[in-house]
Amino acid sequence: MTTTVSFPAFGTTAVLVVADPDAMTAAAALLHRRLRRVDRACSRFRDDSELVAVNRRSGEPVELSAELCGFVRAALDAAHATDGLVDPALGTELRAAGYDRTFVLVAARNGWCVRTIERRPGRWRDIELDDVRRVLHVPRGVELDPGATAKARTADLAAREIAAATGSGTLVSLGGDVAVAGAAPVGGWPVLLADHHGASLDGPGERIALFEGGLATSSTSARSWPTDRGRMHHVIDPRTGVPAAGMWRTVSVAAASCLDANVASTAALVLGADALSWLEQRNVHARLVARSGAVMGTRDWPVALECSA
Amino acid sequence: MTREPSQLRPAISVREAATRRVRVSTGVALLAAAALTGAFTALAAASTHAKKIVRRLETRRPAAHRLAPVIAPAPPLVQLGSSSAAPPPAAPAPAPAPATAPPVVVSGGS
Repeated sequence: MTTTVSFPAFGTTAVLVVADPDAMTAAAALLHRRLRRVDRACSRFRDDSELVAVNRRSGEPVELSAELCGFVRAALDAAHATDGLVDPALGTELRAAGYDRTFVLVAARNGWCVRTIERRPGRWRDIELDDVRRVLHVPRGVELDPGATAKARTADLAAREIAAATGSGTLVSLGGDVAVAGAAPVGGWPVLLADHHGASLDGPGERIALFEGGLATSSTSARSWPTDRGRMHHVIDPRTGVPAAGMWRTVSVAAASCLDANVASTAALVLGADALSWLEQRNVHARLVARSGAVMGTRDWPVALECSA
Repeated sequence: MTREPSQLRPAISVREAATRRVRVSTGVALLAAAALTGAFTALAAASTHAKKIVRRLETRRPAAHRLAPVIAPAPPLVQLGSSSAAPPPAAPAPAPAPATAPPVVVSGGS
């Protein structure tokens, strides 16, 4: 019998599920504490966050906290692992597309005129991070946005910390990016896959059981807003500098960690038609929903046979 | 100046002997060429090209079974990195399974 709590966090929803109900109080306290720490380090929208201070000082070396240093390293590793498909240097592009404040305010705004900015792809390669001295140098004009990798990594670290501290099997979801740690319930952690993480648990969609690692879903139909050039969304294609316009609407990935899953699902959305082979080459387990609604899975996805029949 | 037939006979026999030697040499050369051609043809037929094709076909065979439910581990793409509270990254995860229980959470875009 699992116990669940949920609350707003990072402009989305945090869900904490523990297998041992007695562990919930301690688990929730640990999660809240971690989320506060990460928000203070990584928020793009808090004037007092470390990330905002770092972005104001682009062009000069900046000493980082251990907290932010870990997230920047993970974001750069993600860029390397995907050859830049998941790019942490797209803060300016995201802002130009209209995502320049918390999403509640972006969604409430009555349209947006998309700004054209000078495109210089691959600038993440010019970001230098000394992990030992924790010194970061971001080229002038580049705005760092750890974005989704920060959310997924937080879910991983929180789930592992809670499971280690309480001994309970733990699931942490941050806006639909799910990490599990400790002993899973019999039959695994049941998860519903949907376009939006706010979908009803009773709603339609595929249900899978997760035993370890993480699961992330990236979608172009969530977090979108109206502009003078049509609806924009938050997944920027680093090759074009504007929201990805590939053939997939939603991609879910199960992997060794939520961070891995998030990196792969984001890269797949950006890649478009080449995503399936890219995922299979990396032995990543994924389910892809096309804009038409057609569903495909990688060869080992549990319902791949059913879908292709 | 004409020669007597008796004077011509030795010269004719020398010429005929030389012609025979040329014919024999030509025959031997043709036989040797044919033998070498056969040998090289056989060598070429047994050389690397055909083997490469066979290997390629063999490696392509699994692609014909792409939909088989292979449960392959997914290697880590990105390390979580060091954190005071975090243990080392988890081992590669197996593929998820179909769920039998009602879902406890939704994974979707945010």
